[in-house]
Amino acid sequence: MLASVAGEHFFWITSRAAGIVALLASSAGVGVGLTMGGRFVKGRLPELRAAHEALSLTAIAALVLHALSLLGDAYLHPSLADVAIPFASGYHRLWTTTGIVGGWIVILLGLSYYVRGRIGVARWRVLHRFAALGWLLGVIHTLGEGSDAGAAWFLLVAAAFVLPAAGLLLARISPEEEPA
Amino acid sequence: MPTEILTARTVRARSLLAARAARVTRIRRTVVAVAVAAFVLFWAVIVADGSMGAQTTTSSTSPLADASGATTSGSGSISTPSQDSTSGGQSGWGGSSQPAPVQTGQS
Repeated sequence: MLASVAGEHFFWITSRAAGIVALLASSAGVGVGLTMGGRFVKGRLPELRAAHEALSLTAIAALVLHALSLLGDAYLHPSLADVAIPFASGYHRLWTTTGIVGGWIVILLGLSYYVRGRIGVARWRVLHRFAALGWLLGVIHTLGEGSDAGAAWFLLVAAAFVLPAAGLLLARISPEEEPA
Repeated sequence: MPTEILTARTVRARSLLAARAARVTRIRRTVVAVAVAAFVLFWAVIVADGSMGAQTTTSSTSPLADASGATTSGSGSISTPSQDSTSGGQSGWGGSSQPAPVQTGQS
């Protein structure tokens, strides 16, 4: 059975599984990243930073696998431009473009950590906040175009990762109450 | 005496740093291991699920059939090319190699 699957749908399934891992890892990464700025992490910052970095790099690796494995799919048969350039693909153009833009934001802003000395730490911190926007676009892409978006098992797993991160993000961007 | 204190502090600091480095390494390895395991798990779940994509189906009654007063035995369906096994393109893993690109069915 595996040989049959591998022969016919290997790349398609690989892309879907990698997309799910990218969504979960980026959600966890965003959640941990937002937690790092909180008040309850005293003494745990190095561990949280390591987790945030590992989750982010895992999400980026899964994103790259998600896109590149599609190139081998015999049904869609997309070109490299179709999976890397916004509006290039005619397949669910809006949802695909949302995913591509979100993916590039996550990749570029994630990897910018390693050149923050050149960018300037303060400027990099401002830029890095927009990584959450890339994650949000990824969530929208998943729900709008994802082949498994209608499956109960996927929605349960995705909700377990996306909702906490979304809650932390809302808490971060919502204005703080002024003391009376 | 101050040298001994300094040495003791240095040793303690080094051991703390080593412990932290070990924790960080363990975290990195755990994240990678969980991600790989999750990838394999989702791969298997997608295979077991058997679906090659979300079904996008719209139901409608044929206007021609309505106009002529003919009865229809079912509703028409239009499936988008979303690699769907449930729309008749393929059944499980024993069907055709890939689903039909566009299937329109009016019955």
